[in-house]
Amino acid sequence: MSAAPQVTLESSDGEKFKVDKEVAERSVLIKNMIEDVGESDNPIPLPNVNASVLKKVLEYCEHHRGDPLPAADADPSNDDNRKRATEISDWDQKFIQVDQEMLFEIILAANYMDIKPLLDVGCKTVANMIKGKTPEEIRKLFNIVNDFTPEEEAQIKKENEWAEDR
Amino acid sequence: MSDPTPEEVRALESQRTKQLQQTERSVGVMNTSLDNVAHSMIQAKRERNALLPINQLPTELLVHIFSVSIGTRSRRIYDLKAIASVAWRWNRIIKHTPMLWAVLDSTFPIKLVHTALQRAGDLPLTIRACWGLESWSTDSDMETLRMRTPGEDGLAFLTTVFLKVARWKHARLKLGTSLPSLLQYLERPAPLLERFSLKIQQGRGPSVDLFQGHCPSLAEIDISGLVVPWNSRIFQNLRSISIDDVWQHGPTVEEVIRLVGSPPRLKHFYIGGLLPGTQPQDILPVEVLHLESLTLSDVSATSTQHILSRIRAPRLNKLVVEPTLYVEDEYDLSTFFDVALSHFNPTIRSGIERAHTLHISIDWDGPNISICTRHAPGRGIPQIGDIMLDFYLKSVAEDLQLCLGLLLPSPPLCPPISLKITAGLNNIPESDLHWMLESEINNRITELCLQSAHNPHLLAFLCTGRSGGGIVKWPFPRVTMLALPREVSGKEALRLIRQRYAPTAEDFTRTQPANSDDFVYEPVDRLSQLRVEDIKFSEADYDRLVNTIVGKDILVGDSDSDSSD
Repeated sequence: MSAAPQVTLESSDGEKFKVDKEVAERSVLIKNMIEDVGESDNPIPLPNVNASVLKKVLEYCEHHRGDPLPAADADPSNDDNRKRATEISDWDQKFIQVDQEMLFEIILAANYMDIKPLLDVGCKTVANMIKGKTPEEIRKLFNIVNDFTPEEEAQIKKENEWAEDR
Repeated sequence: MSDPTPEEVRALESQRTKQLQQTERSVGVMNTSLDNVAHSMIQAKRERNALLPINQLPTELLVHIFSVSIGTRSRRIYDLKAIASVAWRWNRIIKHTPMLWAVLDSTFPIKLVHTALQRAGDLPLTIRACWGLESWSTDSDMETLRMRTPGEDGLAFLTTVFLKVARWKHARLKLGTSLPSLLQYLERPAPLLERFSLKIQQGRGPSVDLFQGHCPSLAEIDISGLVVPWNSRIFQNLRSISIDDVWQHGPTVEEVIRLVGSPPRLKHFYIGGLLPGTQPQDILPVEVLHLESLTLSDVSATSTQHILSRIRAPRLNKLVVEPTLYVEDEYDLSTFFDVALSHFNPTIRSGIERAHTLHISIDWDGPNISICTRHAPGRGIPQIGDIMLDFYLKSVAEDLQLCLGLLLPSPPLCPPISLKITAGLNNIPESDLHWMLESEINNRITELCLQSAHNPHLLAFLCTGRSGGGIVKWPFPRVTMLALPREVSGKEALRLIRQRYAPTAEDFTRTQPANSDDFVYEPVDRLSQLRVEDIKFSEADYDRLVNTIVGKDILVGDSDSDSSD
């Protein structure tokens, strides 16, 4: 029995990862590169992704190898789709339990490598962190400082008057 | 000391004026410096925020995150407000992303609706509105009404959005009464509309020529209490049609068959109520290639027969027939089952053979039968859990016998049954419980799920075997999956479970005199799964349960062991 075809990926810091082609092709970027360049022993460079992030991304791709790819035309304004939009499977939840820096690195890598399901998991995780929180709680969560000028703050207060009797 | 001369006064005044001007210049310089410092500070804060990990995300990803995090209905606007108040960049993103403002809900304050419309630009709109609904409605959307009682604002909202019909993409509207002054706007073209739902509680007013038939993108329509011309062009390209609560204004049998047969891509069709009394004879059969689910509710038995006999739907995988007792007199149970056996029987039987789900429920109006089959070659007899019997509100023995009459005569077609005793309203009479014990169903039930223990007879019934002629019979001896509700105490649960494994003479009642304590216990199947979420056990009872009776591996869910119990 012949071994599954493999490809080598090279991170921004020069580390090389040999993975099954099927796993690497969860990334649309890599899939297109392989199609464009053809089979080659040369490593595929990923200059926007460092080794620690690429390792996590490949862990995700390995776990989800063979999963059906998501429908491209899912309508987010549909309530059912929106409900699904905030649901994350158990494995994905554990996978994405990382510090904030890594979380946003994973999202950026998924965006760059065009891995929509991983991008969705990352965005949903951040969305769930934000959901239902006050502005002050959100600032604290992401270490954001209030950077409005007094005039802008007054304007926001004026715009939000309708919500005060909530 | 002599008074200063006029020259001295002028000199002094001039000196003070100069000093004042100098001071004002200094204040001006200081204010500018302060402004500069404040500006620098704001700039520094913004630059600092820009370095944070979350702000490394490009705007389109932040927009995506925001759109997922904001609630779907009334909370949406408050979530938007919260996010916009976090920081300068987020505020700008929220304000300048039309997509976030293109969803309008009747719970929004009217002032904000105008702002939202402005910020949404020219984008197609999603409209959701509830107005003037009767309080008895149990719809989950009632949460919205609890948060904000619709009044003048609600009407103003409706007026504002109905004027924008031409921009609607999705509209979901629930109205207590029909509002002719507003419904007239629905007679304008809706070129962008894709999904439309309008339910009017006290509806059935004059017919509305929806969108003048001009809504070329419409794929789904769900109307209730709204009368429309049943030959309208709006039905021609739909994938899903649901028509409910139109009664005497409803379509005729002929029109229903045309409605089902016309749209070439129709997948789902629901009709609740027909124009009664018309039974045409010569209707040509229609072939509906893509139809997957068909529901006929509140339709007379004869009309149901007419419709089903003229629809060929090779991909149908869900057929739901919900007869009603109050459309016409003909619908007593036995009549329905006569019809079922004569006409539906082949469908039901082939359905059962290929079933995903067979759901028999008995509620206010009698039995409902839903058969969900799959198109592909059958997988054989339904699996455990595919057949559920739900009990509600009334004595069920007679109805249940009728339902099971379809199943029990053919053992291969009567698979294991999952018995779910559902509602808090559940009130199965003791006589029904005993009927079940004596009937075939006692041995058919393999999953027992109690969702409420409010029935006073139920627990005692389940805990107690009955002896007769030296044999002790148990309720539901084939049950291998047992789920108990939180109202059951730890002691009751333990007793219920223990009697299945190590029964004693206390665990059954004698229905006939017995000469001795020589009883033969009818064997029971061992549990393979036990769900006892939130049941409080004493420490000793819990240990006994998991260590000597069922074993830890079959216990599912959190239960509390509480030494103070």
